[in-house]
Amino acid sequence: MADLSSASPRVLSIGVDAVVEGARSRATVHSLDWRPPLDGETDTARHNAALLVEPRVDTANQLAVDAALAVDPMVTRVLPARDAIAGLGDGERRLLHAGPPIAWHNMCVPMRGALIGATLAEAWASTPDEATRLLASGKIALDPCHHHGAVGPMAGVIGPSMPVWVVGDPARGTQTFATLNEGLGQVLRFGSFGNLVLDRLRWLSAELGPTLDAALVSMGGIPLRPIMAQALTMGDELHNRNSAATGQFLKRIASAIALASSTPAVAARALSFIGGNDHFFLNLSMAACKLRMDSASGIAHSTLVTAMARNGVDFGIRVSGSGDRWFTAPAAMIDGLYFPGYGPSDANPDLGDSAITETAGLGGFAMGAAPAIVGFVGGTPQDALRHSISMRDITITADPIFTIPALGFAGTAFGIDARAVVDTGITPVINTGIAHREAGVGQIGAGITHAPWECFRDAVTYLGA
Amino acid sequence: MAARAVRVIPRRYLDSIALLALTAELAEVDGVTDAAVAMATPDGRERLRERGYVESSIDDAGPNDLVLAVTGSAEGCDRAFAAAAARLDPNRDGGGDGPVEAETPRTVDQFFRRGGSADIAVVSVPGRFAAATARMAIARGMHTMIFSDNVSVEDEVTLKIEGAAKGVLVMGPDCGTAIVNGVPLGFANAVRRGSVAVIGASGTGMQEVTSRLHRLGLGVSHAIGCGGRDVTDAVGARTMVAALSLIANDDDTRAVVLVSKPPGTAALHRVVESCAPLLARGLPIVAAFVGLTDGGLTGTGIHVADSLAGSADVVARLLGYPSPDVHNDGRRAGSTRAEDPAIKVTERFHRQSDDRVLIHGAFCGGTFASEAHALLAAAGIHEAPDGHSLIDFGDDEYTVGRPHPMIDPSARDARIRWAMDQPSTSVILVDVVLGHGASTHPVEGLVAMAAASDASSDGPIVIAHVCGTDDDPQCRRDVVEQLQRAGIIVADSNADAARIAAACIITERHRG
Repeated sequence: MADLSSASPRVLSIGVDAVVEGARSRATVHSLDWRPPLDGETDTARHNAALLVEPRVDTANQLAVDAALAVDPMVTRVLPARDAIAGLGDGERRLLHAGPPIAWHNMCVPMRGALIGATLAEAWASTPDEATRLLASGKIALDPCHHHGAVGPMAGVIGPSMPVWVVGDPARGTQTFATLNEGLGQVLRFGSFGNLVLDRLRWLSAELGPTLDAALVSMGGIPLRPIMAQALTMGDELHNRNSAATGQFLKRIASAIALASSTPAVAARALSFIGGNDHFFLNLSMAACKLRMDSASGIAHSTLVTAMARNGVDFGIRVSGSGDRWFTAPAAMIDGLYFPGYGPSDANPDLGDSAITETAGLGGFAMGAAPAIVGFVGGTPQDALRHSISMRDITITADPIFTIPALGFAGTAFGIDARAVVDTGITPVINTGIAHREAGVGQIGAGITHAPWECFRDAVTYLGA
Repeated sequence: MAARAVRVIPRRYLDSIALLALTAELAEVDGVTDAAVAMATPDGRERLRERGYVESSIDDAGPNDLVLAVTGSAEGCDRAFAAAAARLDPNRDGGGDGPVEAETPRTVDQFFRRGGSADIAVVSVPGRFAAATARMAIARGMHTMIFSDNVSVEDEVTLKIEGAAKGVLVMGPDCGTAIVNGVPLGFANAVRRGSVAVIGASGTGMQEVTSRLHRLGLGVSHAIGCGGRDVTDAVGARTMVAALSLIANDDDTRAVVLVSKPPGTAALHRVVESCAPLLARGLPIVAAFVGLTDGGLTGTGIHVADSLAGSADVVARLLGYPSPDVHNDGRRAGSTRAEDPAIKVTERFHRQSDDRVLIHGAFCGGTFASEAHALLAAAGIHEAPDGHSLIDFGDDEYTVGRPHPMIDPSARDARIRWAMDQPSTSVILVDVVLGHGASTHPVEGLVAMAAASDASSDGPIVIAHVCGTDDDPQCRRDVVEQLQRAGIIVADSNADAARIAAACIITERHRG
């Protein structure tokens, strides 16, 4: 039995502070800003407390974060998806999309547009109407990218002919995949499927993909973690800002591209495409983050969140202890800055697999590293730091590699513990682009949103059962 | 004797500015004559070679590996590597938070996740969340006081089992009073620290005993609340037993008072068992089990007090302190007419008409109501519809949608106004509870009502008992003076007030 006569007792007050008013002159009193669970349910508090006091959950979570943090991602190849991703090369017509599973007739317009574009690009249909009928008929299998080791920003659509990054950890033999970032404007990931988009897709698969692959093969691959760590110290958070990482990547690969290109024009097109797209590195960041989180999946009892993804209708999370199961809730709208001429009524709900970056401790979690884009989160660098600090309350550890200069080079908050989200009501902050709710308009702004608390509540309830 | 030492930290990236800063820091370490920190890139390795660091481990390192190279004494090199490790610890507080303040934590888990720690948790959240909240506090190794009520017996038992496994006290649920190591929690009075431990399943009962001890010149080592249900057989006195075993090892404690309603048979048995080691060490134990007359404690070595206040008097006697000698009619030995409340009541009583036959009690403290009930019943005075009444305004029935009467006595005061207007009312018993958490103006309503009636008239006699000390925020002496100026007679204890009332009614006018 613990001793009662501690020299200067410290009191923690949970609830009504008047109850400890008399203690203040004799003890150090800490007061919590207590509030009931967000759903107001006694059972939620009860189930979550049972998990929070369970030591084997802590043990499992430590195992899970250790596994994730040990991953050393390296980009090794750029290959047509059919040659890289299981399920896209077996002759069956299949397309991948962002977020948790969703049927064609429930999809948001930008996602449908992207699938129409991909169907045309695969030459499975010759007109948008034909593509639409084909997709609606169910004759093209539609799977989440996450079910195939892949991730895609926004609509996240991947077809067999598209070139994809192959990111792996050679020591572990694990791999993940992501498309090449198309840039801004008329792009497939926002639901555009016009000729400009299709022509670009053709160029990506015919020229840029093979060129990048040859360059990477000649270099023996490029480790991504050093680029990402450095980019954080250069003002990126690797979700909404990828300028520094793109520059670092380009610097490393430029001469290899030059040597791998058949003509100077091919090299020039590749280099200027990469150099002209500040988000070029985003897809690499996403694949690296997924590689990290995949290695932490499937550890019994662990409440570590291993994926957060949105399909424009639903927000879904996966938790290590429940493996591939999704816990979903309606996708939120995004609070952000709009490009001239657009406003919240034009916006689609939260979309894309890019929240894998937050899942891995980057993006909104590393907002304090990216003062240049604080406009998206309310204005001041302090707001950005506040986001990064508050995420410590729902995470298991600090990242040993990815650090935030403005926080004294403290590691980014890493490893979302679903229990802590349920417990505190603090939900993961996500930096993200805003898609127009109609196909083909593209990006109309950027801002922040939060993962819906209910996903985490349901995950905890499931794991606690 | 200077030597070179090199350490390679694989896959640790530092930018050039951070490399320079760490180099400078290591060069300043006592016993170090030279330091160089670099990434093992071709450039970095060249710079290390220029400084004379040619170790093979540098050649084996890659461009993503960090190299720490120092020259100095063996101890100096070790210190430098330790300094580097501290600097490179990703969890360290970098001190860069600047003006950004983290918001106040909301939960126990969050508080601990941030590195906070505490010894005692006080849970006062709504009852249906109290069990989950307390569970977290107990799991974190804190003694936990659950002020909240409306917690199920099943939860109470579970929490107390978990507390025992964790080695912490679980006080409550529905624990209103505790003084742990001199720190008052909930409704508690300002009493001096001392040698008497009070363990109780009754908040106001513990307030009565601790205040009385203070007024007798003694002090309190710890006052441990168990929660009203602890001594039922369903809970099995788990907290009282745990508290006794804690106190058994407490060097500050020289005597123990147990305060509660009469425990269940099995619970009492466990309590008696747990008292044995203390009694064997010569620690006197006094029980004030309100309403327990036969004791069930005969032969156990535990002293049985005849009232809450009486338990303090017994302790005082046992520890060699002077204690008041009170007759069983509430009259004090050797007291003068002017100051003895019993004598003053008798004088007023004789001026009343014979129609005034009833006692009405209106209490803030449930245990005071119970004690008055037990003492009146022992004198043959029983409550009945249209007869004598004793009402506990702290009961759930009266606190729905309004604060406890200790915080706001207005509902209780309304009952007193009613009683004063009844032609059959002879005596009105009231309690006034002082201390932390209680109303800062506890007698405003009482004094106004009493002043409106004429103290020298033949109206109802108001006998008040003031539970508290002169050190309380409300100051007992000041409160007593206010009451007396208004013609209210102040008894020395709740038991005295009941006994004085009983003595008058029984000897003069009782018709039962």
